[in-house]
Amino acid sequence: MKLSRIFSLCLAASLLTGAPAAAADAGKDITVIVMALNSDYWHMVEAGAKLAGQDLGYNVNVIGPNAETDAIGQANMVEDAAANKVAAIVLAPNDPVALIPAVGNAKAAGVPVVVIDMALTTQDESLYESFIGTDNYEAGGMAAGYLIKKLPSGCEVAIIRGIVGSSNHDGRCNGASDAFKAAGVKVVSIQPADSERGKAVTVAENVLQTNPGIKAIYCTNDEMALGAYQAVANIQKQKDILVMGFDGSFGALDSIEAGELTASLAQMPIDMGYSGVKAAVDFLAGKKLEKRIKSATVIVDKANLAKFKADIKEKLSKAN
Amino acid sequence: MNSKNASAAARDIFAKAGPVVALIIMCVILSVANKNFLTSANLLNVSRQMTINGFLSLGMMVCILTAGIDLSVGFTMTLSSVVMAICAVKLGWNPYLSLFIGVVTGMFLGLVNGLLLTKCKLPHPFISTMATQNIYKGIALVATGATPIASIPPAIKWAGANFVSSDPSTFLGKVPVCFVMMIVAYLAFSIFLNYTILGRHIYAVGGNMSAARLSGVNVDYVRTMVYVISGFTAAIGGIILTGRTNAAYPLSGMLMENDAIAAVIIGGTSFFGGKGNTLGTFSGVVLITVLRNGLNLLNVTSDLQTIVIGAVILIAVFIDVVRSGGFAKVKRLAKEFAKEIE
Repeated sequence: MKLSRIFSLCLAASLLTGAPAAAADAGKDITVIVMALNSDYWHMVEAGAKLAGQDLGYNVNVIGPNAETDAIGQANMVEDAAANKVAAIVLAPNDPVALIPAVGNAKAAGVPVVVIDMALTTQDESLYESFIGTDNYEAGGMAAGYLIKKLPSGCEVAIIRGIVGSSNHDGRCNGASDAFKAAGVKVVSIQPADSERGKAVTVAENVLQTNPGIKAIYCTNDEMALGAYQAVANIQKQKDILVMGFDGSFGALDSIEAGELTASLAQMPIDMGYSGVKAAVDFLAGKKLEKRIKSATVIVDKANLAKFKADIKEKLSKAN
Repeated sequence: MNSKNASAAARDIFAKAGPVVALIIMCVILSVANKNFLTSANLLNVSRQMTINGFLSLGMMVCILTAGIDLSVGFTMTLSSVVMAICAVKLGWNPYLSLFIGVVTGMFLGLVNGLLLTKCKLPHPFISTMATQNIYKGIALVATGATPIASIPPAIKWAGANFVSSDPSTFLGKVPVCFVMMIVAYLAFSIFLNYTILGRHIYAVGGNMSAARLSGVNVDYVRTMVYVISGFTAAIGGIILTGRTNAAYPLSGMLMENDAIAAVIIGGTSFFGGKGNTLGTFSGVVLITVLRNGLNLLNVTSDLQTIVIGAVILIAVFIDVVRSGGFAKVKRLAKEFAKEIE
């Protein structure tokens, strides 16, 4: 019996440590559910969302599953937030289809949802109030355009992409490969590395092995770009091969500063988090929202790095 | 002698009631910590959220009862849901036929696991099911082109998406179909394990494999069947998942085996086989779901949730060790050993 008491005490302790974070002011809570809280990118979205909460007088909670593949865990979070009677949910769905029923349940419970970052693949636009995200196809084309200017015409490039089937990575990859083709640059290899740095090292090594003549590797996120750079550096070809990422994460910025990565197509995750919460607040205030809001992107390389970093630093310091 | 019996009986009751008691205590704490915990909307969420793991854990328990394990449950679920969705959506077959094919697929994948163990004599199901987990995942990715299959027909979605009654104002209109299915399955498994020959043999094989063999139990048959059963329950889990997400997507089974093993272990099933029951597993499933739900309501990040669940598993297993006298035995042996040295 003593043991059962220990057991329950431990449970109680573990639960109560979470208790102070519990919502206090009903009607002023906004829950932001990101794909996973495991990267700089999502922590910047978190910072932006919290900043908006401070500015607009809302209590913003940012949560997310452990892994970006955990769609069912995220669906549970959406439903739990709705049961918790929050004023609105801002969601970055980690699956374009599997989250739709959960969003429908939230709507049925009377909780408005603003979708950010990844679009839901649905014809029923009434499910969510607005979608805020990068036009990935356009951005992919932009990234390719930047590389094309630096490359000799007719040369070979490779693309390392995130998981097949993610609409974000599809857009980033197709946008770039179409732009390369249009400019007469040969895309000799398109390989998935599931957005992971470690996998990207292996994939890039294999790509370099089979296509030793490539002049650039474009990756659809920064983690993979950092991995690809590692593979390039391992065979001492960093002078000959440009490596470009996508996201503008801290790791990539540091790497660009150190002269490693060439550039990153930076999204503005802080702005995205901020505008997600702001859109939700606008909707709650009765304003009409546009269904599709494009978020800004910018190419960061050595030339504009300092300014870009200073800008982020300033916003982050405000959020904390 | 009498008091010894009484304490043994008390221990036995505690063994069975332990997880249930922990669950009740947790519910009380959560109701106090968050006013939205004990609302019908939230309990509805909880009852729906527990079902997928509920089915996976049922199959996992049967495997662990024979001192085995099925690490492939997650992707058995995924692959059977993918096969079902391909039949129903891409090939346009009858949805009921597709449901049937999905279940048969799950059982077949389980049969492969079982035969690898008993016919190919792979040393431990940990190895064979770890291998098939990767294979099933790969097949699911290839078969779908890594893109989710959406627009599932209503007949297939029914189990995962609908309520018992279509009128939401009635009580039955708030009870999810999948929850009823889960309760029925647990009752059925309780009867199956206790009152059928195969059920009794599962305990016998897990308790002492050589003794079971000597007393005429077809051990290989039993050890194969438990994986077929696990494949069956995983396929049912897949049907619910497909309904819940209106899609069959190739990475849905990722790490699902973790929660299933956790639920079974928290529920008091011994990893060495032969000991455990459906009520325990049921409480384990509910406990994990309520824990996650409660932590979500309290806005606890999922990183911390992982720590809490890990801690709960450790505590549950530790209790199991102490209860079965293993701890006392080790201590006593150590003492005797120390005396001998003196």
